Amino acid sequence: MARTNLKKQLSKISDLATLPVVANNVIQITNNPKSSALEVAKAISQDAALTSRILKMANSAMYGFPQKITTINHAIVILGFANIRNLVLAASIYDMFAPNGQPQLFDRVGFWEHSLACGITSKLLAKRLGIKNIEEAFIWGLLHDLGKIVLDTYFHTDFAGVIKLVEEKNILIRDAEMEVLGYDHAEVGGIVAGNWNLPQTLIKVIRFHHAPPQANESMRLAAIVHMADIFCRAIDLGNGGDRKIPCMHPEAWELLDLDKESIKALFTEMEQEVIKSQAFLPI
Amino acid sequence: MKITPIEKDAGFLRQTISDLHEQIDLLSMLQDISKQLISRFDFNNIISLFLGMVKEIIHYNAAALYLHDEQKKCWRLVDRSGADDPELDAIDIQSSIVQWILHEGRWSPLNPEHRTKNSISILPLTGAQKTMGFLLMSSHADRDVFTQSNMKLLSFVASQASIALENQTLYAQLHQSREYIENILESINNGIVTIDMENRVTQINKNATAMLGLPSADIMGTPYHDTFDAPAVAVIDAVRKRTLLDGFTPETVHDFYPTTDLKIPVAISSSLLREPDGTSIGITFVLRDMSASKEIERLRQLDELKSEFVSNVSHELRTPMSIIKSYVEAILNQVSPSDYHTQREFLHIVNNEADRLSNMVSDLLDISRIEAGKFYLDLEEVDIAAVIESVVEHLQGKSTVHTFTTDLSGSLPNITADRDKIYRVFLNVLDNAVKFSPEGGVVSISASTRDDTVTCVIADNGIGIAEPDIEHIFDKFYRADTSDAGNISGTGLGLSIVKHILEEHKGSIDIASSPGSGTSVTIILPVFADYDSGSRTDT
Ligand SMILES: [Fe+2]
Ligand SMILES: [Fe+2]
Repeated sequence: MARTNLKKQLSKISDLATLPVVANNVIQITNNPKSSALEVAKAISQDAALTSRILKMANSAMYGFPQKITTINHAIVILGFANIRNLVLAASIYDMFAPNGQPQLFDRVGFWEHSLACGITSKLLAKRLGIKNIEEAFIWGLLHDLGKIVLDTYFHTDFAGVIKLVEEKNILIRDAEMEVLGYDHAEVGGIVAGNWNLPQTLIKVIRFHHAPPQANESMRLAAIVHMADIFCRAIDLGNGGDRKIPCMHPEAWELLDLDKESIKALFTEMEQEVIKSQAFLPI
Repeated sequence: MKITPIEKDAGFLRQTISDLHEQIDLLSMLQDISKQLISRFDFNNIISLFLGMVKEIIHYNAAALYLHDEQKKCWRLVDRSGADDPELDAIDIQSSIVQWILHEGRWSPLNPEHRTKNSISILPLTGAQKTMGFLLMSSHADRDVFTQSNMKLLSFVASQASIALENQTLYAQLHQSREYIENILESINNGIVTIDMENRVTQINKNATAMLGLPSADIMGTPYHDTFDAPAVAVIDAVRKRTLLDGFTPETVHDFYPTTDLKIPVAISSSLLREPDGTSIGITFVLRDMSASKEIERLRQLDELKSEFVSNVSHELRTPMSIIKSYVEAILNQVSPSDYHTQREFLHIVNNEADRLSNMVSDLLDISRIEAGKFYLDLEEVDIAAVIESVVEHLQGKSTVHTFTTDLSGSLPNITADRDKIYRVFLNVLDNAVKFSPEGGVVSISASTRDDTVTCVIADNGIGIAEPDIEHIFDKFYRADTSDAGNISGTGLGLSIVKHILEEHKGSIDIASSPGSGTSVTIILPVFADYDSGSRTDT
C-alpha cells in the first residue's frame, strides 16, 4: 500500500476515534498541575455510568484500600490524580471498544485480558526497576495495543484480512499487519493517543513497544512494556492476536536485568495480581 | 445532558497558562529549598525546615511528625508543630488505613468522607529503601488543599526530606564509627600513624604526635614530609620503602626527638593497608616508646622484688626465732641447772639472735616510716668517733676472724645528728663489711675532717660487688644476686635505710667495689647541717 494512501487512512482514524468528552475533560484538567480533586470529581460526575464504573474499579482488590470508597472525590484523594485519570481513560476506552457479544474474528475478550495482564506486569516491572510513578506503568501496558482495537473497529475488513493471514501462515500479527496494511498497530495506536492529548510518555510507549530503542529518552519505559508483552504471551495471559511470541529486544532484556529466579517470582505475582483486578475487565 | 469540552473555554486556557507560570516560580523556589534540605546534616535543622516547607504549602493548623524507631520497631513522635490538637492525638496510627497510606507512600486524607471542621491527612516520608516516618496534619476542611500540585509538591518535599534524613542518619553513623575508631586509637598505648599512597597522613593518635613532637594532631591530609622533623622523616621514609616491598616490617628501634633536648628510643613496625581486593591504599605505622617500656620494666621488677622481699623477710625472721626457741628449750630441758657455763653460752647465743631479730624489726619499722614520710631525726651533739668505736667494739665481740683497724685522725668534731641513727648507719655498713668478707680479714675505718664535713671510709678485702649491682645497692629490697652472697642473711633493707638516714642528715654515701678485691664505702656527714623545718626533733 502506498504511503500517501496510508496517510489518508490514518487521518480517517483520527476523525473516527475520538475520546468521549468526559475523559477528554479529565485529561485536560489533570494536565493542569493546579487542578483540585473537586474539579476532577466534578468533571467525572457528569457521566453517571463512568462514575459508578470508576468507583467499582477504585474499590477493587488491586488497590486494596481497607475501607469502601463511596465518592469520586474520595477516590481521587485516596488513589491520586494519576490513578484516577488512568481509570477514566481505561473506562472510556472500554466503552468505545467493548466486546459486543457477537462472535468476532478478532478476540476482543482475549485482547482486553492481554492488555490488563500487560498493565499489571508493567507495573510490577516498573516497581522492580525503582520507577517512582508505577501507577503510570499500568496504563502503558493496558493501552499498548490500542492500535489493534482501533483497527478492528474502524478498518474492520482490512483487519479481518490481517487476522486470516496470521492464522494461515502462523506469523506474528505485526508482520501480517505490515504485509496487508503497510503499517502496524503500534503506529496506529501512537497516532490515536496523540490525537487524544494523552501524556507524551504514553504515546511513545504505545508507538515503540515493539522497538524500545527508538523511544529514545522513554526507552526504559518502552522496554518495560515490551518485556511485559512477551511475558504475558509466554504464560498465556489473554490473547495477543497471534500464537507466536515476538522476539525479545536484547537491549530491553539487558535493561531489565532479570535472572531466572526473579522471572519465576514475577510469573507467580502476575497470576495473583490478574485475579485481583477482574474489575478492570470491560465485561 | 450536554457536556462541554473544556479546552474550548478561553477562560480555562488563560487560567491554565497563568497557573503554569506560578508553577514554574514555585518549582524554582522548591529547588532552592530542596538544595538547602539535602545539604543539611543536622537532624533538628532538617525537621524544622521540612515542617516549614509543608506549612507553606498546605497551611496546616497542627502537625505531628512520627519517625520509625529502628531499635524499638515502632513509630515515635519526634516533633509537633502548630496548635495542640486533640483530634490528631486521637488518631490510631496502627489502623489499617494509616498502614495502607504508608504502604502506598502518597499524601492522603484520613477522613475524606467526614464532614468535620478539620481534615486530617498523612504525608508519608519514603526513603530509598523503606518508609522512614510520616507527618500527621490537620487543616481546615473548607480549604481545597487536595490539588494535584499540592500532591506533587508535598511528595517532592517529603522525598527530599527523607533523603536528607537518610543522609543525616548515615552521616551520624559514620561520625559515630569514626569516633569509635578514634577512641580505640587513642586508648592504645602505642603511637599509630597511617598514611595513604601519596604519603598524606590519614590518621594519627596523640601518642604518635607526642613521640614525634608535633604541635597538634591536625595534620590529616598533609604529607608527613611537611610536618615531621628531619630524623623522623628519614626513619619513616626507610620503613615505608621496605613496607611497600615486603608488605610489612618487623620492629626496629630508632631515636626520635620530640623536643630539641629530649631523645627517646622508638620501636617502629609497619604493615601495608589493603582493600579487600588486594590493592594497597596506605601504610600503618606502630610506634612504641621504648623509654616508657623501660620504665614499665623497672616497675615490674620492683614488684617482683617486693614479693621476693616478703618471702625473704619471713625466712629471715624465722631463723633467729627458731634458734632462740631451740636454745631456750635446751636450757630448760637438757642443760643441767648446775651447768652454769653451758647455760651462759646458750643465753649468749639467744641474746645475739634477739639482737638480730630486733635489728630486722627496726629496719622494717624504719622503712615503713620512710615510706609513710614519718621518719624524723632526734638531733643532739654527737661524738662521731665514739659512735664508730662502740660499733667496732660491738662487732669485734661477735667475730673472731675479722680484725678492725681505726684511724680517726685525732680530733674529730662533734656533729649535730641523731645518735641512734648514726650508730645504725655505721653498724650496718661495718656489719656488711663483715658479712661480705666471710673468710675473715681486715676491716679498716678511717675518718677525717675537712671544710665542716666529716669523711669516713670503711674498707674491706671481701668478695666485692659486681658493677651492675652497685647501681642498685641502695634500692629498697635489693640484694646482689651472687651465688657467693646466697648464704649471707639480711633483709636487703639496710643500705636503703642507711642512705635515707644520711640524706636526712644532708650527708651522702658512696660505694666503690670490684668483685674479688673488696669494697670501700665513703660516708660524708656535715658538721653543722642546716636542717629545714621539715625535720624536727622526735620525742
Ligand atoms: Fe503490540
Ligand atoms: Fe501486546
